[in-house]
Amino acid sequence: MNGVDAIRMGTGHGCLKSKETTLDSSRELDAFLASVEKSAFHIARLATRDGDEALDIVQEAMIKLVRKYASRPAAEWKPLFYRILNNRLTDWHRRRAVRGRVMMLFKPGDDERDPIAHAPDPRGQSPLDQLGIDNAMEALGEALTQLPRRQREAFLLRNLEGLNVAETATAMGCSAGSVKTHYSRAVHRLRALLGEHWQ
Amino acid sequence: MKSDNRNRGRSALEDKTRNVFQQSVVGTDGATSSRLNRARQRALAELPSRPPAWQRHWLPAGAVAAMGAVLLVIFMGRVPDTGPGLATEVATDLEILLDTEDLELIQELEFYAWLDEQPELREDSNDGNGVG
Repeated sequence: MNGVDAIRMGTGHGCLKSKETTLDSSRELDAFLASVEKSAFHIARLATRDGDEALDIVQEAMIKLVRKYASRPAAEWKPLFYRILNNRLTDWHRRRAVRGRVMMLFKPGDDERDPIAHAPDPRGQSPLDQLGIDNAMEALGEALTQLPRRQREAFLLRNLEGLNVAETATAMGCSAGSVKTHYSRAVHRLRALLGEHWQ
Repeated sequence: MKSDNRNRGRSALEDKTRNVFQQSVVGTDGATSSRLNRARQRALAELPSRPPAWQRHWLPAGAVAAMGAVLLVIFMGRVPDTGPGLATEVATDLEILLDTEDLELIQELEFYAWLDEQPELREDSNDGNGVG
């Protein structure tokens, strides 16, 4: 083997290593996103009360994480992902509020709620079980809409997604103390809203 | 005791809501799972090419080694010639400074500092509640 061949082989090996690294990153990200996508979808659906909107928001959050933060250490992906998701949900609520105000000018008294969009989907569980879960989720979603935004965020991220205080603080962009306050108020309010059969 | 009762009540609500949520996650229908899977694949297609492994692994290691070398030079420069006792003390100090947990803490602080500098991740956290 001459020197040129050796260099070629060396270069080829380098490319192969680089491709393997990219493949490893891709697998790692794939595993991470697969581990959070369903929870993220249900959190987004609880926050928006709309499955299609929730799917779009989760997809946008996934794309942004991959595009901008894939090179960050894997341990940081979870709080970053939920920070992006949370910001997307906040944007969605703001846009909807503006849209709602504009629509009210033209269609006063119209019901915004689309019964088809809110119809329950068929699931893998028995219809009765699923109906019970759907009803409970519906009640929870309804109660969550009555909370102030920051309280809702704290409850969704801290209790339902199971983030710890520091991760929730990162996702919400506030201090750990604020998370505790918002969360405590959210739980207190939900106890009043959901009634005693939830306690 | 009063506090215990309050904690138990709160925990029951938290447990129940979390349980319902998890059941809902587990019972995600096939169509939604499939759409989420497609969304994930679309996101992964956006993965930018990364620098070679040697750059990612050796550069941080190099930075740590350089920091160690600088600390060593500073300490050695300050130490008067007073025998082996002080040398041991310096070695202990260096060990504490280069402790892995401290480095992890520094990295974590770096993460939060970096996070604060991301304009796209910033958002107005004021909700009118006077908190956060």
